[in-house]
Amino acid sequence: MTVVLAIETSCDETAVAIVRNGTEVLANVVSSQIDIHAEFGGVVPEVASRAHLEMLEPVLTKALDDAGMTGTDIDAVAATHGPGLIGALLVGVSEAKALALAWDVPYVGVNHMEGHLFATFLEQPDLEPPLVVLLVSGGHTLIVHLEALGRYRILGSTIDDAAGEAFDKVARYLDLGYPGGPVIDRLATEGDPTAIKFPRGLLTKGNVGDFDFSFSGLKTAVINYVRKHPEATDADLAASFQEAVVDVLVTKAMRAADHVAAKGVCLGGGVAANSRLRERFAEEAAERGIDCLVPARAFCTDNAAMIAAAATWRLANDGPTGLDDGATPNLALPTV
Amino acid sequence: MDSLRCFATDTPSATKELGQTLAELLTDGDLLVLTGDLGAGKTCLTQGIGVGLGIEDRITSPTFTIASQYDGRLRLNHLDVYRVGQISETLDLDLPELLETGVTVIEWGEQIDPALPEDRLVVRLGYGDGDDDRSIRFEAQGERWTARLDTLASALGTWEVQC
Amino acid sequence: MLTLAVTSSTALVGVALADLTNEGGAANVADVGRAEILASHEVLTDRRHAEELTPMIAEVLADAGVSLDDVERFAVDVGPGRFTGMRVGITTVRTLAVATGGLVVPVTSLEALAAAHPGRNVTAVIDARRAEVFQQRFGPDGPLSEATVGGAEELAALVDDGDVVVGDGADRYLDFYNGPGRELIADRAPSAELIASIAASRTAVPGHEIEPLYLRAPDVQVNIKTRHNT
Repeated sequence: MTVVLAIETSCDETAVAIVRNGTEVLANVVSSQIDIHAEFGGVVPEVASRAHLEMLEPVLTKALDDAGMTGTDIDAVAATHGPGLIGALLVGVSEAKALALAWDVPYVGVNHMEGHLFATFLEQPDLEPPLVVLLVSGGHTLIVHLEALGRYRILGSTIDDAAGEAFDKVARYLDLGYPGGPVIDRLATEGDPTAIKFPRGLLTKGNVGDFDFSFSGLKTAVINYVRKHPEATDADLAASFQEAVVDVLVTKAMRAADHVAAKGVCLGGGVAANSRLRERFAEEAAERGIDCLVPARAFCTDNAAMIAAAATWRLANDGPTGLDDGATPNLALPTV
Repeated sequence: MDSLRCFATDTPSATKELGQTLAELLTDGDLLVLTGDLGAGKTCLTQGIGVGLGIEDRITSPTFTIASQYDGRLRLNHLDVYRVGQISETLDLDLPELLETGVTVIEWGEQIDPALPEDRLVVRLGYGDGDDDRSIRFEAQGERWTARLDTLASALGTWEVQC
Repeated sequence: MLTLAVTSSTALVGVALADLTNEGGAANVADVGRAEILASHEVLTDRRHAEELTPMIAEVLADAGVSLDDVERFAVDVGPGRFTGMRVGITTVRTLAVATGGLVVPVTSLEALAAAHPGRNVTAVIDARRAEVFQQRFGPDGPLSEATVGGAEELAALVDDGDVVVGDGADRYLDFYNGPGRELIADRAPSAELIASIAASRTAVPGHEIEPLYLRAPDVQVNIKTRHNT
């Protein structure tokens, strides 16, 4: 029996979770700063760091209360140590290391992207590798071949903007507010996804074995279209833009699943909360007759339960991280 | 004004190529401040600069983590400070130290103007008539750049236009 | 009373364990020197505050042969200084205090600098970058001014002749801070040992009440304006 308390502060969510044996979620508290940052049209790093410092103590207390536990019940403390905003990460890492010192238990530094991969197993622990995981967030767009737990290969990634960044930037251009993902998702339901034929980056026939993404051209195409067609409705723009993003993401992920003969496909990251993406992803997986896991929205967006799950596995396989651990903003997913 | 030169490209790959050619003339400690609307080609130009500096890693948008570093013939410090709210915070990123080694390219750099040294090449990217047309304007600021502007412009002669 | 003091708001990361034997004195920075230092470590670092601090606390406790549970009180440098460094120190100490049930004494970086020169008029100056400094003046009986942030040239004009001028801000802007009759001890950082000493005469509060002294608001409004103009 291992009870891990994990802290996640890599971006704009202050989160603490307590997880038993890597899958049993005893507490999962997330305090979002979205309201604070909306005013600025995006996450402002210094504002995020200050908010983490203010929120972490109450969030930690609530997590312990929710689980009905005290420090003596915790076997290890984990924190996200990258990738993310350096000042934000260091608040969580400092807190986790201090707790490990005070409670005299091991500390585990966790890669945020590996956390997203483990979110999959929180809901379906018996999911069988090999899997193809599509990780899409504000900072990342990755197709990962999960050969086994801890064994990852990156099959494709973005060559310019991340998918979530494209949502944010298009929403910013159209003056729809922040964050862009939920706004466009909502607006798209009122628009026609076939109204405007936006380009599908890197999706031509010549690129069948290529799992990389490009969203910069799509962003520019939306801007060019609006400049020429000021009468276009936001709803049609949102629906057509979203359809283009989803089309590329789903097509590439499924091609990758075929390529490595995956037994299943999974979705992860903040953009995995997008309704249209969830729908198309499940449909295409069903057509192929392979397992499909689309985690609950709470486990797609940043949370600490997934960090605790990854930490449990890392602790059992690699042992604890030293207390001289810091944070790395551009930390890469460990691959084989 | 002598410190102004203008260029035009008609495809993203031409913008990249311009960046690549420019990069061959860059030296340690150079600072480029890129300004322009969304989609104007700031990251695209930076990718070209990366190629010109002999960087093999993929250069992606640094929007999420604010700053990325790449090693090539010279180190490339690539920053996107759109979300950096406070000038002093950029200094907590040790900007002065960053600027000492390699070439530094800052997207949306005008937002932290007071924190930046006077010697800089301001590159303004704008939309042209066609979808892929871009205007690229160099404004040399400080001795370091005014002295080199003619050399830079003649190397980029293919794309130079009347300002 | 066993007290663990921490500083990490400047380039110096320091930890000291002290036995405070005399409490309840007047709340001025000159009231120091009653702490017996049992163990103390410090290191200069550019950006590795988080990496250095936690192991250093463990080492200091080990050197003194005490466990964290024996620590009755904590003291922490709450700034002003480098935001990231301040947050590392405050998060760490606050967490240790909450976890062990100890109380915390907040001490400012400027007070800690001044405390090295009891009985004198002291101007403490910490580099705030972009040509600015954090500054405060102290006399033998306590502060003579509020802690403030501003242009180095402008604030240097507030130094009195005869002052001891101390801190990395004075070091960086020597031309402004040099003057007749002034004693410049610029190359100094707040020390954990002095923070422990100051804590001897202060009231401790619960960990969650500890807040950083930023002195600077994140003035994003300025940039929002810039954004709309472009």
